[in-house]
Amino acid sequence: MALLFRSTLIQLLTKTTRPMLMTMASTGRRNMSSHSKETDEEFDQRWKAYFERPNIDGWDIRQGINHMNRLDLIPEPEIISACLQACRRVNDHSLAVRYLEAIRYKSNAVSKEVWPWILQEIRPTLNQLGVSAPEDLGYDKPELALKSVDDM
Amino acid sequence: MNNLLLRHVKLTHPQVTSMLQYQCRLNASTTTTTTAGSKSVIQQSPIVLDNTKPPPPLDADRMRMHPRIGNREIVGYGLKGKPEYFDLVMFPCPSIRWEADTSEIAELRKKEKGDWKQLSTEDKKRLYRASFRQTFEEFTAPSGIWKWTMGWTLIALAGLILAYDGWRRVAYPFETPDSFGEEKLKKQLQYHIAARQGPMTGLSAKWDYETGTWKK
Repeated sequence: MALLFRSTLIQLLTKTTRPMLMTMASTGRRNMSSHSKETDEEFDQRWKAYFERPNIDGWDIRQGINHMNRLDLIPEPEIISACLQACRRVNDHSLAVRYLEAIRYKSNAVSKEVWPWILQEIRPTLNQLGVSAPEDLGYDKPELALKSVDDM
Repeated sequence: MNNLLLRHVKLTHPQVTSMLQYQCRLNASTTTTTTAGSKSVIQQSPIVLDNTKPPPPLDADRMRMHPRIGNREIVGYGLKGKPEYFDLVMFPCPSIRWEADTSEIAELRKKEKGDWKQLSTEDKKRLYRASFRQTFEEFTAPSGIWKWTMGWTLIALAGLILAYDGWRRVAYPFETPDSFGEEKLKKQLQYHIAARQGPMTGLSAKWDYETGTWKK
């Protein structure tokens, strides 16, 4: 895990809170594990800030995309928009399409209604940046029939 | 440290893997921290690795390229820090582009720096195929191997059953006893009719007992 993170992310994630063993009146959540739980808003803010850095480069965007893809969630439309803006800053349109494809695949695994909603939410960003959704490029159906890597 | 290329040395110690990641990052083309001027090599011929030609002279730019990937641009960390291409559902972004930059792709990249609304759909698709080999739909498409599996399983099962039956016929020959002979079978039929076997709808129903012949 440490190899995949940048050091700032490591510091953010491994803040430990001591479990409070004796409290007269508990003033907050007590954690059984030593991993501090953050709320959904903090999570969203953290990732938005990660992608909104003005001098982010392609390496970090790919790190972020790969890592977020492994988490058990589909990112909020704000995070997706921030990532698309980051792709615009590094002038890589194919990366944006790839990211949208990954989210589409993941959301179709959940339900058929998620992806149209996400598209609708990020449509302003798509129109502003000129990013094509996978459907616009015809990539919601397979285009080429290449040999699978497992068959080589 | 920059002269010693860490990727030439096989390192497995965890403390130096971060150094390896740093070195890979330095070698990659999309970082803003590199001091080298050229970000990617634009090659003239479509063949990436051609071992019929003598090897190119070793210079700083050439040493930056890995022999296995040719002139393709290194763009990310990938799976384990190695510059290899992969199409995986869990990791959408591989560490290198799929195609090396030829001059036509370099033109498209220049266009990409401008407004993306000026890019046509063909341009965008060309750029995508330059960076990636297959789309998500393509490498997650069903392969239809289950039909082959089912077919061959059933054929193998049928073949085994036939082989078993053939072996039993060969290994256990059945010599017919004498009760299979014509005379004995005739005697058996007479006994059945005399014992009134099948009187309603079977054998004896067809025998006429008054005349002692078969019924007409």
